[in-house]
Amino acid sequence: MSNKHFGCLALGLFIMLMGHWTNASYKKLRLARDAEEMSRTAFDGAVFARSAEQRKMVILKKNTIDSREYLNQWEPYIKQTKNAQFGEALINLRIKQAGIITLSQVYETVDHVKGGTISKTLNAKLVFEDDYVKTLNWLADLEGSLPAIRVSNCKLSKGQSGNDIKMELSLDIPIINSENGKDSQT
Amino acid sequence: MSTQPFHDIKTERQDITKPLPRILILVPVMFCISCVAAITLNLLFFFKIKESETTKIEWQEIIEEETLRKSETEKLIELIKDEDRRAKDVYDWVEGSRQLQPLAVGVARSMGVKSSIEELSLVRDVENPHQIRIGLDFVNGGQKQLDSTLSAINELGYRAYSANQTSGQGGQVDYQATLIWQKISNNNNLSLNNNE
Repeated sequence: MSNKHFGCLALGLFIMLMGHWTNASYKKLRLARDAEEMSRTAFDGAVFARSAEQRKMVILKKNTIDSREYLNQWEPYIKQTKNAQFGEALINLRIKQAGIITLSQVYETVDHVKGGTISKTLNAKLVFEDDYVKTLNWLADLEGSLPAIRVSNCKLSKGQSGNDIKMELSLDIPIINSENGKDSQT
Repeated sequence: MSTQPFHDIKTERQDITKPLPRILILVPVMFCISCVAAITLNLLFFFKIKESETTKIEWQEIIEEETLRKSETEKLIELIKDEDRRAKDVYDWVEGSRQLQPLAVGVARSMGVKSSIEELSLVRDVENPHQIRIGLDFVNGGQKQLDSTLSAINELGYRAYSANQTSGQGGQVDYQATLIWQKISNNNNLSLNNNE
């Protein structure tokens, strides 16, 4: 083979190398386009998933509007008593303000529902003996001003004199520690 | 000076190779075309690849945004569910915390002039706090007085179940029953007027 033949062969090889280079670049392009297409498909999937979640949220919001409205209205009353000491002081204040004769008062913190919204309650066992109207008005005022309070036991009997009655009460006051509770409103 | 050409000086070359076939003239032409085409196509592909990569990154950014929005929505859903759960807990508590004072006053006011309450007890059931166990011990008036008291209780929205009545000496009547709030089953909507 002469130099001319080698020259031709070399040129031919260069042509083949350039073809190979171009082909490799084309393959890279196809891969890039495939990746782009996959991203586009993934985007469609993500949009679909997000829309489904949003639709679910809208339906859930619509279905729970009454209960959430109810919670918004009642939660301030439920959270009126931040801790047992506060509840105790509140009851004592009401008793002092009314000037009602108290025979005994015992307070105790009781576990209510574990993991529930109201996990603890302050149980107050109170015994009064005073005027019938004054005592029942005091009870009405207490239940009215603290709507979340639960009178779990109320025993009325005749007092020792005239118009007096003896009232034995067992009150449950919900205690929600706002630091532990979830305050977020949607 | 002589202007004669030097042809005579140039000797014949003996080792010269045979020329290549004419067709191989295409090889350098093809080489040139290939060079131009390869450079052009590769440049084109390079820019297209860059464009695709940029577009892919843009899509991925939007996907991340969508995923973020989805997770935010999921968090909101969890919050709504949590609020709903809390609302149910609060509803259960409030339902079992209806005021007892109107009931006590209603019973007291239903008593006739001659009748007198010895003892009135209103105890909530521990498991079902909306159920109230009433124990009424009164003297004089008998059945008529009891009917009047039960009517007053009914007017307040309660109905008596599992009633137990015993009459003693001296017109003493001991009545016990479980009171159930009647509007619970009719009122599915949660409202603030529970204690009214």
